[in-house]
Amino acid sequence: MILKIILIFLFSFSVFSESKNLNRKEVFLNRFQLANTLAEKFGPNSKPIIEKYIFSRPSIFYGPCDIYGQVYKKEKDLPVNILPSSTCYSGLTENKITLNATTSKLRQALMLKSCIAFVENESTFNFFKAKYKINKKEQVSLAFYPSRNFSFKSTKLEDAVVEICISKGWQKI
Amino acid sequence: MDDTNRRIFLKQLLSTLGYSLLPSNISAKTKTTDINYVQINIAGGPSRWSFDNPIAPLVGSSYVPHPMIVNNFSNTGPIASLAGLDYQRFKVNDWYMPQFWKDKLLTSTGEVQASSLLNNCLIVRGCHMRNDGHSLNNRKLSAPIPGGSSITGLLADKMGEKLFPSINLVGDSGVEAVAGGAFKSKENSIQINTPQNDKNPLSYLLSPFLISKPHKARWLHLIKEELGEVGLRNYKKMLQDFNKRVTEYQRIINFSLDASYYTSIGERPVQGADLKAIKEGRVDPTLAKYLNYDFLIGNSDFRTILVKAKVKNLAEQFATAELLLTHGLCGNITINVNTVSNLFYENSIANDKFSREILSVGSTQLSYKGGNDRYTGAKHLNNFQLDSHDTGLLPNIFLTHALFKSISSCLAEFKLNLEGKSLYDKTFIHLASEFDRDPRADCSGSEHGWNGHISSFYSGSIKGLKVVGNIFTQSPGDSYYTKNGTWGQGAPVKENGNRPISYGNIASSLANVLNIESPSPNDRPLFERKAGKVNSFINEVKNIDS
Repeated sequence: MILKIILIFLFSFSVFSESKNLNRKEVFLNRFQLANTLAEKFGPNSKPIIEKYIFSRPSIFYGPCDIYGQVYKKEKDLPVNILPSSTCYSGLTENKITLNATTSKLRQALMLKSCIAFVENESTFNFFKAKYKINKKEQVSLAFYPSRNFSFKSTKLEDAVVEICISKGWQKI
Repeated sequence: MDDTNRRIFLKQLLSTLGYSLLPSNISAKTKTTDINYVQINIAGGPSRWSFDNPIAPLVGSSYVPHPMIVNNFSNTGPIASLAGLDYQRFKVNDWYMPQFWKDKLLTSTGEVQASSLLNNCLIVRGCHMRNDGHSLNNRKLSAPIPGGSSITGLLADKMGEKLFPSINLVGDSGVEAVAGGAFKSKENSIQINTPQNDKNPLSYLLSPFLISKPHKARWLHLIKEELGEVGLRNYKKMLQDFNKRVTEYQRIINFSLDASYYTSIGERPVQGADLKAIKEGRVDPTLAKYLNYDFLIGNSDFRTILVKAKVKNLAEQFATAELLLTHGLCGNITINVNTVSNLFYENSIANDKFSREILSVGSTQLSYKGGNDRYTGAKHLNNFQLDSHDTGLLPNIFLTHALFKSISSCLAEFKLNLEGKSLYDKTFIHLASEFDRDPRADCSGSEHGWNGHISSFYSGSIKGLKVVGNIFTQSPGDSYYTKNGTWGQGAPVKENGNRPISYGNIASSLANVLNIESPSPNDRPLFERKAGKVNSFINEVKNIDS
């Protein structure tokens, strides 16, 4: 019995003493995943905003470019068909950027700019409200957190949409 | 407790202790570093003999002269003549450095002697890069083991709360083929590459936080909530400061490009090539000394090659780096230096009007094809090829001087501002290119000196000037030319296990200073930083007869 107690103590001690050095890294949506999710919520007119603030910043939002997408086949008389995912904005080294995104102040700042732009653009904001049938702030939760309520600090609808849009919960994998 | 029970007890004890051996590098909390690192990268590998590669650093250093490794017109008279060129040294404390360091550099507080930078300088010479090649060796400057972690990547992992873990200020050389393209961290840290030769890299970097006034007022509560103090900083003031600093750095660079201030080479008109009498067929071999890869330069006073010269984007990159450091936004920056461009050619002849005959190793015969085509003008494409295979003696003397004086002047100004914020002691500046160069006997250019890389370091934590590393007085082989005079080919160092210094040694040394793990752990470091001071483990600085 005493032996068992000693063993349990030693086991717990060694696990807890090492676990304080362990930090499980949080993984967030990368630029491809974000682009798809936001485009769904804010409609086709959100694409220029997404491109400007999110998609063209792979070093901040992660997600490698497609190195083979640089080589494209041009059919006669047809426009060149280059996949957006293949664009390596600052060179081919972008193909080494990892798939898994982490968060940073830079990411937060650009998400804030994007979400403000979605709300200030009549077309994207109306698309969002129509899609989720939103008339008041309390209904916004479902658009980003279908299975739980989001606790808002904002009172106005536009502010609430930006607040929930920049929240980290829905961006975490 | 009997034997059986004791054995069972020990077995169970050891099995529980297994949990304490969990790999602690899996998402382990990392410590931060308190040292900033700035790499000034000169892709192309221009010759460093007349700058920070002292070929005879001690009073008794033996060396074998080479006609291309010269830095002084010793003839008297109103015109500096080619026949009077020789190599002179300048004493800095107990060291003998090239004459370059006698020059005056302009800063915002006035002129300073170039050698003042050497008050806090460590030079590692004779480093063997093991293979030839630009891209391979320039990328090694960050990641010494190709494909492995980079110094900038490992440092980015330790940048803690700094806004930017790593920044690469991109110049003409782009990203992939140079050190910036070898960025690799262990903990998914990012490096931001600015757009190539961006006129305002600082604005690009700060763009996520630049919010117009009406927007800021409207969304202030969310900016505060989400970004905290970072979102509320006065970035507008930073950008105004940037513009002022660019103007100042540009003024300093413009002064650096005035050849009439170049000590020992520019004080009087310099004999130019006489192209008026040139006839079809083989030409005077001396003319090869005036070749600048695309043109045979016929300026009557050779100094005028620099009258309209520029070094694109250098002011913007230094201004950006200075503000990032002094505002605590980033401590891990790569500056990529562009070449000296917009050279003025007077009455010059295009290179394609000449044919070249290789007579022997290092010996070229030029033959003129004829015609009256002459070129006079200055344009961006008239530039100094940093990979100076076909940069003859005269252009090499003046253009390397222009390049390194521009860089040194910016460095002096940079140092001044870091000292003003008590940051110079905590900043480690690394001036590097792929390699030095192996000069041709006919003075028509130089080849890659992959076994003679130079790295020079500048920091307040380095006290005085120190030069380390052995070189051969004459190359014994394993280079383009043998018995080619003393240019800096690395020789074995007893203190380094009787081997020449390799870049892995330099990388391990940097890791020591920056408090990161070495990206090349099998290579011993050459120096360390302890109690705020850099100490060298090796002292050898010999010129060895092969």
